[in-house]
Amino acid sequence: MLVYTIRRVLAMIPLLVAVATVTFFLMHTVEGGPFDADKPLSEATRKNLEAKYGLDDSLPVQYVNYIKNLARLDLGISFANDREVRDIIGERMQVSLQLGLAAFAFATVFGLALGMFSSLNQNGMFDYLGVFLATAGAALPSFVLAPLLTIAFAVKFGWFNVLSSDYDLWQWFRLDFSNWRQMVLPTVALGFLPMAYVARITRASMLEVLRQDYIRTARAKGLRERRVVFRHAMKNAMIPVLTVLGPIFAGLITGSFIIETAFVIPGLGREFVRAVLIRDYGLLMGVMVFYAGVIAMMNLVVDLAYAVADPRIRY
Amino acid sequence: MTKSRWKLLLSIFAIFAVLSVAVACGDDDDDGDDDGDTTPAATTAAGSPTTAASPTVAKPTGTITIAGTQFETWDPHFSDFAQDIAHFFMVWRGAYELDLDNKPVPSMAAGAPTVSADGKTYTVKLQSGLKWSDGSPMVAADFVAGIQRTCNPDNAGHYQYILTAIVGCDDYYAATEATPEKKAELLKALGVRAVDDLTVEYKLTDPQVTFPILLALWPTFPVPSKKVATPDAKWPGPLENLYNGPFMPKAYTEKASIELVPNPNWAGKTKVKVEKIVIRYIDDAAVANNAYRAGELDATVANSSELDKLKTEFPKELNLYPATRTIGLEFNLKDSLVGKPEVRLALSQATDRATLNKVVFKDGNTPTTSWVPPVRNGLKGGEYDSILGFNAAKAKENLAKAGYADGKGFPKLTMLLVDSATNKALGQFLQAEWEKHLGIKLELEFTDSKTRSSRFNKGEFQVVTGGWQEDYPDPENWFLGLWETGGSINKTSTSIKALDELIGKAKFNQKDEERRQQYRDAEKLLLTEATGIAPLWHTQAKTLIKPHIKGMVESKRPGDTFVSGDWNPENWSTTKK
Repeated sequence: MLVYTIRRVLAMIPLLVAVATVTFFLMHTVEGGPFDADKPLSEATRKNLEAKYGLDDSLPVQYVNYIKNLARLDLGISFANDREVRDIIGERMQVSLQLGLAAFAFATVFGLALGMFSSLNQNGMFDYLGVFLATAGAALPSFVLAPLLTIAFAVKFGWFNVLSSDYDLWQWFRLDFSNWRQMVLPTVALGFLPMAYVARITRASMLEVLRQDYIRTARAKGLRERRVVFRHAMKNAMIPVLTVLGPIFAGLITGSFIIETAFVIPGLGREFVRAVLIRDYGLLMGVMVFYAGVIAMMNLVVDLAYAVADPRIRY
Repeated sequence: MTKSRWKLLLSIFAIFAVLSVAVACGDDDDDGDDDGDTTPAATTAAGSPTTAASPTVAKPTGTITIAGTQFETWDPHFSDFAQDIAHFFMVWRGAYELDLDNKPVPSMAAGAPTVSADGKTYTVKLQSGLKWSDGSPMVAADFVAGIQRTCNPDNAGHYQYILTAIVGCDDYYAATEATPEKKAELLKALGVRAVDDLTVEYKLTDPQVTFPILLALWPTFPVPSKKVATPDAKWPGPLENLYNGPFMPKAYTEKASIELVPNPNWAGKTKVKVEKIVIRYIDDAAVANNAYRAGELDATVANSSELDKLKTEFPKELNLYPATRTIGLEFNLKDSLVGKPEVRLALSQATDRATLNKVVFKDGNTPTTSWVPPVRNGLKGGEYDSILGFNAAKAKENLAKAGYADGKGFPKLTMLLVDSATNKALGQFLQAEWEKHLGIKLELEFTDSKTRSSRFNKGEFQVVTGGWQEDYPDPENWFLGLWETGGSINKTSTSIKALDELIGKAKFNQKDEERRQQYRDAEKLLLTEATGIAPLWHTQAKTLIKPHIKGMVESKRPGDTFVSGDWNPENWSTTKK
């Protein structure tokens, strides 16, 4: 498995270069540049700005320079505020990661619980409730859910905050959860859809496993129901759930533009969309390469997890 | 699955989680570089407070939290973003500042500038004993350095064009590819110098009576030479910089908020009254309005799209007042269709501005046919209603004169708009109006903002909705560069010989009233045939302010960006503890 892992990690290098190359040329084919503004700039200013950011070089030269810098892990600077892209990603990622971890925990805990209880009470009231929540979660887009939660629980009842911008990942390690009033609504809004997904997968998987012969055997042996469910059924039912948890985790920790905008969270999702909209070439390239790296890494983790979860898979 | 497999599985996830944390949290400040604006989180205040006697001795009280927009750059000699400028006026001031009538009055200067007989040399005496926020002395050389930075080609300041009157500024700014020696030579030739520690002298190529206004604006703000040694040196971030304005940053988290506290060395006349201003960075006005409702904000811009609701919900807290921004139909005069004056007049006259304002903007703007807002040109407004205003019969007549009676044979006309809900409503309104009154079809093309700007700048459009937001409070700012033939930001290809001559005369005219009349005449020349633009509305500022705050509405200006009075936060106070 070690050799396989090393091979996969090395294979990420050409992948990242390919992503950087495609992004670089696509980005430059899109109409409008970083210095096009509602209030037009004079030609002299435009010329100076292009010189300042190296955009006066030909496209191939700019590309070669970018790849050279990338090889040194230098992601360049943001055209919008002259800051190192690496620093920006580091700061924003910390915020998105904290929120993503909270949303992942919410989605996993509630999704698994909902799916399990639904399957154990198939066609009962609890099952209908679980199916309803799972369907609602899948059907309700986050741009609707976020303002609904805000208006109900922050504006009307005042239980939570509308604005949610004080994030510090390290505070959790200090067991400081003082920003909970800010985090509850974005966590629920971000985690609701994956929770519904996990619940649906868990329910379906559990229903299938619970009908297996070995479960019948376990019950026939007189094992207590709790033991049958948690020791025998749940472990095998988790394999399909594990398959989806990897991409869900990657999706949650890399930030969501909608949730971050709705709750004013200074995360990476908001930064990425903004980079596209204002044609911040430096930041856009950096975030794309970073996203590609995270997703490639998550795919590797899931593939390794398969081998652990299913003994038939060998690398 | 065995126990050991589960453990291995958990270990893989745990390792990945730790890696993710490391990626996210790494490199916060590992290179020890403290000269940039890399300010990851709230840390320490810029400079250390001194015990020097200051106008803030009457203890400021209370905190005011407002909604704002994240600044793009903290550099006043580089930026042209409205949200940046709103920040700048809170923490820095120039030799002069604009009073509430937008007249320049001394700020760091000791009095009015001395002007030479030929109007080409301005000499400014500074107050003695001026200090930066850390207590270090602020001298004339710091003001000289401000001009040098804005004119510096490597800094690429967006607002250099307002300083073209300064001797050598254009030459220096154009020396993008010059050698360092040549740049040094051009810097030396720049028409600004420190005569002594308290005296700055500015040399102009031509007389410019609005020059003192420019000395109140951000491109001329002083530079803390202790932190920024050369014109091309990097401008420090909020917590590393020095300040001479009423407030200074105490804490800053990018994309989240900035906290401002009184500057102990503020030398302005008005004492600071609040202990802290917190600006929360919010992109969406709807979110800001919800935060205002929940009591998390004391003041914010009102969300235009729910103006009707806000009028009943906050009748005493909602403020609407004219802003100095005009939007209209901008025509590409090189286009064979809208290049015809009759077509432009027909389109303008077929647009019912009052209904447009009611339907699309919920009465949130002011319908107009004027280019320069009344607050700036001294007129009452409505002077061009008979030429450009809604008149369906005249519109038809003009269209017929252009050869398209009842819209027959009218070629394809496309309007370029930024994709937004408001612009969709606006486009559909114009489509319906022009079809109804002229019998023509308008095609709408929605793009993102950068695409729209790119096409506009390259002249690849027929008609767009656009206009102008005032940079500084003088009618010249509504014409220079915009409407002269070949003007640096003239993107409509407007070219009227008489207009060029008039603007040329007004620009160097030292007789103020005569000059203002010349700009009024210039506006007439511009609008008579809707050349370049047919104005549709002047925007209104819309703010929500809690009753416990005083001084915001009282110091409102047409150019307010975040909330009312954001160019003079020293006037703000609160009764909230």
